[in-house]
Amino acid sequence: MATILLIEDMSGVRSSLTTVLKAAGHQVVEADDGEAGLQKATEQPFDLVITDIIMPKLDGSEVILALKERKPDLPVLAISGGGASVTAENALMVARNTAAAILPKPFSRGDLLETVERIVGKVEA
Amino acid sequence: MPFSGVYADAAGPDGLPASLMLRAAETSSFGLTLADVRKPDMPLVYANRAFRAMTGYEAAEVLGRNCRFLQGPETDPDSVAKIRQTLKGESSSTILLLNYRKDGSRFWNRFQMSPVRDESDRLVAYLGMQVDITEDVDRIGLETERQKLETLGRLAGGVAHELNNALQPILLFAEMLERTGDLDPQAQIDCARGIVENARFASNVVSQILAFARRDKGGDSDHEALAILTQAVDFAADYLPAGISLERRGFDTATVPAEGRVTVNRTALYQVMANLFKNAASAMNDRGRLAVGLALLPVGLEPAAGESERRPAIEISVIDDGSGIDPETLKHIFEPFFTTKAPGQGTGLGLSTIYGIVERWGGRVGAESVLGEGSVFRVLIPVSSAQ
Repeated sequence: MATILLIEDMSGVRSSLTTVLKAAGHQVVEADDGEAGLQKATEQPFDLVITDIIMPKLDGSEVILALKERKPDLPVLAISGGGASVTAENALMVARNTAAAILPKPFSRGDLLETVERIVGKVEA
Repeated sequence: MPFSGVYADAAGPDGLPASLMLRAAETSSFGLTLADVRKPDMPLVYANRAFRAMTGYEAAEVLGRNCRFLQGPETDPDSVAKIRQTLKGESSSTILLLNYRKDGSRFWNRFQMSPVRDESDRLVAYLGMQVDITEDVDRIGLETERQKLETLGRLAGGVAHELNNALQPILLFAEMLERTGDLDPQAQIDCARGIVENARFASNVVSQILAFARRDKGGDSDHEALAILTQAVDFAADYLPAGISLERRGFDTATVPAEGRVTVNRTALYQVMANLFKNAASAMNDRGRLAVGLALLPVGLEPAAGESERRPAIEISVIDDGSGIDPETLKHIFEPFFTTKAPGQGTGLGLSTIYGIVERWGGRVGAESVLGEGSVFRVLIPVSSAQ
C-alpha cells in the first residue's frame, strides 16, 4: 500500500479521492493548494503525488516541474477537469511531458485505483 | 441652407460657379443626388458619377424616379420610416440602409439627407449623400462573430471544468456507496452528503450560465435614475469588507438631474453594483479606498440600431486602488468563465454577468487599469429625459 500526497483545491474532489484511496488501504496526506503541496512533499517521504492541474497560488504544472527538480524519483499522477483557457492547455502539456499519467475528470474508482497501482508498482519494480 | 448660396452664384453673369460645382460633384467619391421636392413623388433630378457607379444604373434610368428604387425585400422598414419622418420634418439625418444595385446585389448605404432651400427659405430639394460601407459592415460582422465563437469556446471550457469538478466526487462517492462493505455508516452518510453538495454546486453553475444566456428584456421597468442608483450602491456597500472605505462622488441632482430616468431591472442593477464591488474588494485584498462616481454623459452611447443620434447615458465608475489588471487579462475580463481566481473561489461569471445585463439595457461596460495602481470599471446605462 502506498503513501500518497493529494494536492487538490476543490474540497469535494479532495474528500472523494481520499475516501476511495483510504478504503483501498492507501495512506493519504491532503494539501489544498500547490504551495502547501510542495511544502508537504519535502517534509516526509511519499510513494506518489496526485495533483490537480489548475489551482490557486502554485499551479499544478508548476508543482510537477518543481517536484521533478527536487524529487526526481517521486512519480506524479495529474488529474484534470479540462477547460479552454490557455493556462489549462499549457499546464496539460507540462503534465503530459512530465507526469507518469493523467486522468481526466471525472474518472471512476476503478480507473483511479488501477492507475495508482500501476504507477506505484512500476516504481517499486 | 448650404445650397442656396450656390444657386445664387449660379445665377451670376458668367455661370462659372455652377459648372464648377457640377464638376466637383461629378468627381466626388461619395454618391450625390438631388431630389426635387416640388414635383410629385420627389424625383431625382441629379445623380453623380459615384452614385451611378455604386448602384450600377445609368443616369437616364434614375433621373425622374423616386430614390426608393434602391430599396429591396430586406431593407429595414424602420430605416425607410425614418427617411419619411426626416422629409416630413424638413430636417436632416444619417441613416444606415440596406440597398440593392441594378444587378440585384445588396450594399450597405450610409445615407445622409439634408434639405435644400431657396433664397426665400422655401424647401426646394433634398440633397442625398451615399457612401457604400458594405466592407466595414462585413468586417464588423465577422469580428463580432469571431468574438462570439471565442466567448462560446471559453464558456464551454469553463462549464466543462466546473461540471467535471462537480461530477468527480459524485461519481466516486456513489461508487463507494455501491460497495457498502467498504464504509461504516457515518462514512456512508458523508458520501451521500458529498453527492448532494456537489450536485447542488453543478446546478448552481448551470443556473449562472442560464442567467448569462438570458437576453430577454423581461422585468425591466422605468425608474428615477438617481434614486435607484443610490439604493443600488447602498445595497452593494454591504458586501464591502470593513477594511475598505467607500467614497461617493456625484450622487446629487447637480450631476444627475432629478428627471433623469433609467429602464432597468432593480435586482439586476443591484447585482451589477454588488459584482463590481466584490470584484474591486478582491483586487484590493479587502483593504484600501474605493470610490464610486456618477456622471451624466450627454452623448455617452453610440446610436441605437437604425438611429443616427448618439444617446445620453449615466456613467457609474468604480475606482479602486488595488492590484490592477494586466492588459492581456483586461481584454478578456468580461468573458464568461474568465477568472484569475482559483477554481472554487469564483466561477468567473461575475463580470460577464454584468456585461450581459448592461448590454440588455442597451448600455456598455468598460475597464481601464494600471498594474500596481488600480482599476476603473465603467458602466454606462442609457438615460432618458435628463437634458
